[in-house]
Amino acid sequence: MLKTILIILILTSISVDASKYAIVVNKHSDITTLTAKQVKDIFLLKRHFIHDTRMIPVNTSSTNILRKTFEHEILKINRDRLNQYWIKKHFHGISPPLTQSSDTSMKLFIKKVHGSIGYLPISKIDKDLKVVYEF
Amino acid sequence: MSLVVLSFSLCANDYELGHGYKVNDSLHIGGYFSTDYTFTNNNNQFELDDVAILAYGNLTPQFSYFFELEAAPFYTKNFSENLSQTNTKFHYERVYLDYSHSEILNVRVGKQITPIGYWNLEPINVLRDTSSNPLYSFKMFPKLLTGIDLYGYLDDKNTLNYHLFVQKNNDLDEDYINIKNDSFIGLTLNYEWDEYLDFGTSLGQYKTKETDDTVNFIQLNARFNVYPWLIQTEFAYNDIDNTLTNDTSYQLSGYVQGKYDITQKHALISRYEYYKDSKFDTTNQIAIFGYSYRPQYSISIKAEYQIHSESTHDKAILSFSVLF
Repeated sequence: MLKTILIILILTSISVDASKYAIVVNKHSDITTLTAKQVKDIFLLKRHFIHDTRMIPVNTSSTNILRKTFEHEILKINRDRLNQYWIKKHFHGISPPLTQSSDTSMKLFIKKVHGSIGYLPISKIDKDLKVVYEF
Repeated sequence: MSLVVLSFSLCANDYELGHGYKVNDSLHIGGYFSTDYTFTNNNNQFELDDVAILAYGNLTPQFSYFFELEAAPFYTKNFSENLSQTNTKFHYERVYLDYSHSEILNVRVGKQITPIGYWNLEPINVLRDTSSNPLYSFKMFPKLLTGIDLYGYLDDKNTLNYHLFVQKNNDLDEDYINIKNDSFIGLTLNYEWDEYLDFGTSLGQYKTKETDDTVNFIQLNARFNVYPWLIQTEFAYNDIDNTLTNDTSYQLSGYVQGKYDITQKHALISRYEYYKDSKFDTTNQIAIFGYSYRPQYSISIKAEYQIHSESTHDKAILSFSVLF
């Protein structure tokens, strides 16, 4: 009985800790891994390069649950504060990252455009994409 | 073909107030305006102050541009003297080209905001937390630079950034700068300790055209930002040599400002300012208490009361400003 409970606990903890989403780049990119801060800086347009690659961050649509999860887990900024941030950037001539309306168009964009970086559910990542961070 | 479709879909952004209108990747347009009403002991005045339009975009992945025209004050009505004045002449506020080479090196050429401190980088009413500007922000160094700025990050973690800027000519629009000068050089360093605390320093020299002063300056800034608190301070010291009279003097000025967000829309602000000019043997101290209401972030309604060391200068200001 104790053994069964232990197995259930271990399996539960594994499923809780397992990442559901990933930051992805084109499979030909020379980027192998990124830190959470690097990802945050790229999507806030504070960082434009990784090595010699000019980064092009791509968001999903603002109503997408994945977008909200990304903002909460990686950017760690709520929507109001993020809105303030981009309004201030507008005054300095900087507009927010590009947006793709679906996971399919996100994948297509990253496959086609060198330097692009986005996020997807791990279950939707295929061999043409490379995972550089999981969350 | 798929890329063309992708690109088109990226440009079809709906307009949202405060974010400008993106025509395409090469053209993004917007603007702002502000109005304020000032009450003093013997004068009441209304101003439609900044009226500005701006345009920016990417020319290539490496090159981008920024263009801004501004008229200020656009319209003034003095109720005590029953006088009004309209100024519809637009000036070049910012006109520059950016070249993005790497994280370490980027280049900006043209008329641009001088990259010193916090206040100078967000100088317009709608982005500020008070209607008024501290004396520090327009007395101590030229707010705008017509020259070249090299900037970037000096470390892998992007926490230490620098600006090295030079001007060796007249301002692009001399009618529209706080300190006319034909020589301006400076170095700025800013360090982001963590997401809550950052600080920096600037030092440099400029030569004024109207008074023939050579001014060596040093500036310090620090900011602590943990919601709902934002506390920031900036100070600058100017060592001044007059080339005509050989007189020397100094200016010292700065402020400490605290903001408390009651909610996302409502905030209370207080500021203490200090300004000393040894040449004219003047010292000013100002305490400011203010309230800010933002129905949305790009719309700002503010009220403040100023208590000056010379009580005849005490005043109240109401303002309304919008970024679009």
